[in-house]
Amino acid sequence: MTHQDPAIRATDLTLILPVIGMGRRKRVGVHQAQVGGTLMRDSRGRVSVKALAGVNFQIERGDSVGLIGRNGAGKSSLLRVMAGIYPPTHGACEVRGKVSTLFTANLGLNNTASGRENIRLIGGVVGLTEDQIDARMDEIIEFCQLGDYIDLPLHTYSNGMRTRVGFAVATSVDADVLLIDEVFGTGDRAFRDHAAKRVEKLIEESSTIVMAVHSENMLRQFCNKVMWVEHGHIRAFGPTEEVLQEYQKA
Amino acid sequence: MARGAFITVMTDIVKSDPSSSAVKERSLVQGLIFWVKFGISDFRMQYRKTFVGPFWPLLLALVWAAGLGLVFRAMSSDEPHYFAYVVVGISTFGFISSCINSGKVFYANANFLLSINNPLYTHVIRMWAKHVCFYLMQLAAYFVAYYFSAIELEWTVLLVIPALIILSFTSVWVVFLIGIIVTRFRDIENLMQALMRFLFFTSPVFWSPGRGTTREVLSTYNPVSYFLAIIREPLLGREPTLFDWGVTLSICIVGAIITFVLYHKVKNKLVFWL
Repeated sequence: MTHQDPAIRATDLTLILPVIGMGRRKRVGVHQAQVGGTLMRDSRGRVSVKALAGVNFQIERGDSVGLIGRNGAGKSSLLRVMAGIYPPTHGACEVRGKVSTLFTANLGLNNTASGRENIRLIGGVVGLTEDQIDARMDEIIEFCQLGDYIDLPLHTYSNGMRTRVGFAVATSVDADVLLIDEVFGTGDRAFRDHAAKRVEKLIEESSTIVMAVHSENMLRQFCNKVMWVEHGHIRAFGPTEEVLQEYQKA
Repeated sequence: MARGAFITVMTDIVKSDPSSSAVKERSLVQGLIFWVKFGISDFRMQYRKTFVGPFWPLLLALVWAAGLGLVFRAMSSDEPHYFAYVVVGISTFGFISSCINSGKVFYANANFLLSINNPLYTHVIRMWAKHVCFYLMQLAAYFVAYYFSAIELEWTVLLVIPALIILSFTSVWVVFLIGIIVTRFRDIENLMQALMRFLFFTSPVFWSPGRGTTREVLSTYNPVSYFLAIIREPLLGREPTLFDWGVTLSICIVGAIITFVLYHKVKNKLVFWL
């Protein structure tokens, strides 16, 4: 194993999601829609979704990759496979190093607990020890910029404020690979700039970042590469500007 | 076709951050302690906006026992310490019932399971710890009952400790097993609710089995009654039979094995059932 090993390598990565609990006899069409992965039906009439159809790629260490594509193109599924949450149906996904995920802004765990208590809980959930949380608490609170709100219960927070807490904790894990799924939507402009600095610092520390983003401005701001996902395939993968131009033409 | 693989290599490039004092990874035990604490915090937070706070379960047990005692006392004429009998009975039954009704443990945490790659058992531990807090708080009503009764305790009261250990170990796998089954077959959750209501009346919770009655038959073929016996008998100054211990210990071990095997069969599939 050398330093040149990629951070993430997908080989013929296929993910088929079964659709359970809808019975077998219902007539469900399996034609390709504008959105979503390919619908399939097996010989026993069970419907499933092919979320990823044999993709191959390599993400090098220190890359910051933006995932783009229509709703249901497979961006979140791909992120979940990279996080080890969805086991691949066929093929392999190799990830080197410790992974941290930020897939939902609402890991707001306990609405009656304060922001500070929630930082402890989220920290524990993502695998930090008590000592690690203590050591990072001040820095996390400072990053959140929530002032005295940090000691108020979470139900007083707006979605954007929750995002700040979630983002602060997820990025304070010493992770080698950081996976982010569409959570900046609720953050305001000031927070986005603030987050951008944090992401830049992580990239400098040679973390690898993969994030699903819809805004092209944010792609330009955060990412050096873009992966365009469509119907579970990779349509293009390369430097940000090139892929974005291609994406706009389509 | 070959099955898919997720490979993660943790060793070679884990970053060392000189600014943080503790770069040590969390151990398994530290992790388990965290998830238990998380469950305890769930329990506490549930009552945060109330005045009585975490003592609500205790009051609940006392009110419940008083009500049942008034109405059903006659069904247990041979039970000298009826109030304590019912208090321990309903809190223990309540604990068993809430564990069996924990089928939602995975799908209610779907957001969680699909966001962070934590092992399945972490969610089980969290929910179980919450149930245990509730149970211990209810069981505290026993001290009230003891104060008002003439129970003569002997050394056998210490047997409640192994009994509680057997019960808690069993309840962990019960939550796990029910969670797995319900995630795939949601009907089971409703079925269990119906079953527990049925069992409440057909288990010796607020009546005692007696001799040669229908009630004796009901309690003999009901696993719940053995768990009630090992917890309750020591607290009433009596000794559970060897048969009681045998049945509960067997259920505890056999169930744990079944759950373990099933877990290994489904651990890669469960996330798709959420």
